[in-house]
Amino acid sequence: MVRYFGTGLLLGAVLVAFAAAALGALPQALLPEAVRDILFGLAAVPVLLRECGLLRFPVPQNARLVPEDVQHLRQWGAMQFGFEMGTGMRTYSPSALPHLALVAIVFIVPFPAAFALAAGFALGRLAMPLLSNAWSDDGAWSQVWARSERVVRPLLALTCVGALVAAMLGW
Amino acid sequence: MIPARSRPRWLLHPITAVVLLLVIGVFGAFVALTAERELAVAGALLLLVTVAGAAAGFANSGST
Repeated sequence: MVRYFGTGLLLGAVLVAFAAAALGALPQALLPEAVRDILFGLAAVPVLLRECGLLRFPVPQNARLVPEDVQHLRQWGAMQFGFEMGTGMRTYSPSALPHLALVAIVFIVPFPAAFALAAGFALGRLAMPLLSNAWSDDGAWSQVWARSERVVRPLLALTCVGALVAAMLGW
Repeated sequence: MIPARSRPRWLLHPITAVVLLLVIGVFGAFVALTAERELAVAGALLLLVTVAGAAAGFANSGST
């Protein structure tokens, strides 16, 4: 079942990355690199501050909980659900990092690398159910996540922004 | 009956996953900024954006 969910995640993420990369072809072709770097920086700094808890602002999200019957889905249902989750538009988005990843695809990430970013997103999103299932059957991992959020969120933001900035410098 | 071996829980902790991502990211950045062979640089850059994507995906773990 996880395989189908993971495949769906990958397909959903790749579709969104493709759309963002197609949209980003114009600014990447027309705007000088320095301008695009500044635009990315203007998005990255507030996101970093938000993830560190120093700034509060809402991000676009589909404010719907995942229905409980999702866990009883069969293969194709799991793939469809994974696809929806992979697009990042299925449920709440507690983090602004997926939005920053989209901004990065539009302004700084070259077209082929957008798919690596999408694959990474799917992998990161898949880690949650994998770790949670391996932890216990009662969903206790979510409580562990909630307890460690204050440390995990800033570290993830630092990792995401740092990796994108290092890639920006390397290109 | 043989008792089930307890799983090392720290491996499944969110902080372990984040530290792992961070270490891979630092490695990718080091290779991207110091390697001389183009192929190595390209691979490191792809690794970096993959790590960025994974961090973004994992950050949404609290959404369900």
